[in-house]
This record gives sequence, C-alpha cells and structure tokens, in this order.
Amino acid sequence: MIATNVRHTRDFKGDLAAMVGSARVGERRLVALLGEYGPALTVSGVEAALDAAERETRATIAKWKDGVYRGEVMLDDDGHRTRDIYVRATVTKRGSDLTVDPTRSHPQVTGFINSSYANMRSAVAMALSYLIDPETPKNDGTFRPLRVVAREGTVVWARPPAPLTLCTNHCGQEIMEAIIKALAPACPDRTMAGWGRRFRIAIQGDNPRTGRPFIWHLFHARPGGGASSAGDGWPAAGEWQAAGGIKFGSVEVMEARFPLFFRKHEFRPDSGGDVRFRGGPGCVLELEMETTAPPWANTAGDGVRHGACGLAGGNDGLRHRYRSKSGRKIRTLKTKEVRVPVHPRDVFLIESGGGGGWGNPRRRSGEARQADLDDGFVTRRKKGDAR
Amino acid sequence: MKYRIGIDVGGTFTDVVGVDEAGKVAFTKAATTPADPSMGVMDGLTLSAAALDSDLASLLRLTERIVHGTTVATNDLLEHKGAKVGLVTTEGHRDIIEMREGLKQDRYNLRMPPPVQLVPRRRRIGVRERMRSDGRVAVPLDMASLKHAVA
Repeated sequence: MIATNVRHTRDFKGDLAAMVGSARVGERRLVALLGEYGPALTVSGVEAALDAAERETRATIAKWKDGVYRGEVMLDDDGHRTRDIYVRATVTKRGSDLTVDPTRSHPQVTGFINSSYANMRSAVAMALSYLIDPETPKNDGTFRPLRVVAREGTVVWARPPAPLTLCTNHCGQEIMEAIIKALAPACPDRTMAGWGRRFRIAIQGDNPRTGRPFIWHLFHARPGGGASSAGDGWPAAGEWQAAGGIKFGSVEVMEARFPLFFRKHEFRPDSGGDVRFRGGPGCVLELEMETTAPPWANTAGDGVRHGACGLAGGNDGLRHRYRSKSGRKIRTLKTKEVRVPVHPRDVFLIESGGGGGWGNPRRRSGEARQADLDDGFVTRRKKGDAR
Repeated sequence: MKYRIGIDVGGTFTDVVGVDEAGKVAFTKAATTPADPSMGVMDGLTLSAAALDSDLASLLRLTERIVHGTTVATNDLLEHKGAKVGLVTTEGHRDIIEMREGLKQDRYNLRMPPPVQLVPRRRRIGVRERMRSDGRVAVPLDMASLKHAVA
C-alpha cells in the first residue's frame, strides 16, 4: 500500500526490503545465540555489555569540568517566513551525569525542519556518541548517564501536525551541534568544529536514453568535515549527522544511468575555516542536464546563511552557494524549494560549504599553511584573511 | 625429480616453499634483504634446495614452476616510501580519489585526521580531454595540455 503512494515505487521497495532483511538477520542471529547459550546466560551477557558501556561512558564524563553550559546554533530559515531559527541547549554536567535541556529553542515553525521527540532524543545521543571514546560501544548503557528535559511546542519537539520531514538532518544536526558547542569549555579536546550542513537537490524527469522516468538525488559535492583537536577536517565528508557515512556513486555510473554530465567535480578552494586545524574543504560541481523534456528539481537543506561553526577560536567554514544556469541566466537556489524549473542543457553550479576550523589560527604551523597553498586548498589571495 | 616453488618476500622474512613430485614439502625462511630483495630470495632458494636434499643449481634446473609474491610494494604504500608519483587525469576531476566517494572509516571517531595522500593535490594534474559514458569522445585529448602536465 505504501509503495503505491510514493513517487518511485521501485526505489522504495528496495529500501523496504533492506530494512526487512536486516531485521530478519538480527532475528536469526539472536535465535542462534539463545540456542547456543540458553536464555539466562544470554540475558546476563547482554546486561553485562550494557553495564560495561555505562561504566566506560561515566568514566569519560567524570573527567570533564563540572558546570552549567550553554550552546546556540542558527538555522537559516524554514523555507517560509521564519529566519534565524535558533536551537539552544543548556547542558548541566555533574560528576558522571549529564542533563540536556533544549526547551529554550525557537518555537515550532511552518516549514519541515521541526523535530519529533524521538528524533530529538537521537540527536542528543549522537552528540554524546561523538564526545566519548570511539571504542566505547553505543548501546542503552552508554546513554544511561544522560537525562533530557523536554517540552512540546518548540522546533526540537513540535506539536502535531507540524511537518518534520527534514528533521533527521535539520534540526537534528543543530541539536547535536548546540550540545557539542555548549560542552566546548568542559572538554575542549573532545569537541570538534561544525561539519557542513545538508544541501541536496532531487531531480525528477524522463530519461531520453531509456524512455523511463527517473529521480536522481545529489549526493556528490559533499560539504567538508569539521576540524578537531586531532587535526584538519576530512574533505568532502559532511553532513554532520552522517559524519562520513553518505556514499556517492561513481561519476561514470551516474553518467551511464542518468541523463547527467559532470563537467567538473573538485574540491572548493578556501572553503574550510582558517585556523590551527583547518576545516575540510567542500566541493565544486558543474552538472549539466542532458534531458530532452524539462525536468524539475526540489531542494532540501540549510547552510547558505550560516556556515559550519568554528570552535576553540577557529573560523567558520564557507557557506553553501548553489546556482543554476539556464542559457546566460543565473539563478541562486534556495535551500528549501519545490518544483524549481529546469531546462534541458541547464547547468547546476554547486559550491558546497567547508567544515569549521578548530583552534587559534595563529597556531597553524607555517608548514601546514605552505602545504595548503601548494595544494590549492587555500589560494594566495586569501592567505591569512579571517573570513 | 621435478619441483614447484612458492616465494613470499615479506618485510622481515622471505619464505620459500618447495614441493617435489613425491609430495615432499620444504618450508624455509631467510632474512629479507631490503636493499636488494633478490639476495634474500636466492638465500631462501639455497636453503630450500638443501632441505630437499639438492643444491641451488640442480633445484632451479629441475623446477617447473615458481610462484612469486611480495608485500614489498604494499609496505611501500603503507609507509609512504618509494617513488614520487603524480596523477594525470581528466581536467576538473583530479580530487576524485581523495573524495573517497564521501566516505570515512570509523564513523564515530571524529577526532581522527584525514589520511595523508599518496599523491598530494599539487601533483594531481588535469588534462584537457573527456570521454562520455558510452565511449564517445566529448573533448579530444589536448596534446599541449598533456605535455604541460607531464612536464
């Protein structure tokens, strides 16, 4: 029934089959485990694993400085009339306990960047997952030290029927970002600067080579990853909620399967925030439409007014700039548009944002600066400029 | 009597396995000689010959097949040793390998610097040319830009 009510039935059935398949594999393995060790030993083993993760997490949190911390992050807009939508988190750290209170966030909005309660809880868990040791397992025990204060009616927990479609990205990423920003004074070496936000385009049309309809999602030209105390950010690894988990298909396969031509797909110079540790660069993509009938496009994302945040004295990453070129006419794309008109031979000029920088720019080594210039990550014109 | 021989040149040891027609197997180990790995191979073969009650010259004369493998190249890649290399590729696409299709390993480790590139961006040079997915030439190879890249 769901499959008959979506835009692309075949794609959807693939997603659904993957979900059902993974649940079946999980069931099979659990049954095998119970068969091998019996229910009592299995259950006590699970409890021991959860308790161990809680102990590790508490030991990590206990090392941070006690206090009440606040972080604020801005979203560009909701695609309607509201701009500068703030997500605010108050984080109280006492001993090995954390309380996160995002209730002072912006009231819920008209556009689809509101969050559900469950998604907000996931975003809070994501923030903690990024701050603890990567080796610590992520399970229910890990999140026992965490308490969340919540109130319905804000952008982080909207009252129905507020639209929530984008929430796993935005404002999910901003909830996580506000918590990490807040905790920067408590555990500076564990925090990392902001990763580029989502800004994707979905193009729908007819493929003249196959005569069949297609929907193509832009996963190329990924924004940059944020820098951390460990070093520069990862190039083209954003969005932060996925942190290097979104794969884009090869350019060759895309061109073979879709009426698209990738004229250029490279790193975007000067996009990572300047600092002691530079943010990862975003990308430049020139994408030509090779359709015969006019396709149309929807956009979904954020980050053309607010770049990925710098941390510990670092500068923000460069913001996104997406344009479409039709003949000589150039149009700037907004992050939340429906039915953008596209013509055959139009070219999308995509420049994705860079990651935020970490640490005082004065402490970037001369060698690292020279390498940035040699590799064209930073152009001479902008050397030393604070953006 | 005929022999088959397998050789693996590792970072520390050169392993040689010799097998004769009757199925007798000799495992021998010699030290790898990094300056010239062939020395270690010859040492290993000499040991193998002795283990098979033969000598190097006879063993090699009667050997019908040698399978030779080495991790020398892999180690050079891992340790970033070896020749200084460049990448000449289609103009506008020189960063595709460093983009890693957008992926990063160890997803929950965000305090992890990105890998050092085998071919840094300064030595990745675009050349004017472009093929289409069906094999047709969209932009023919520009010899002047190729000469410039190679220089």
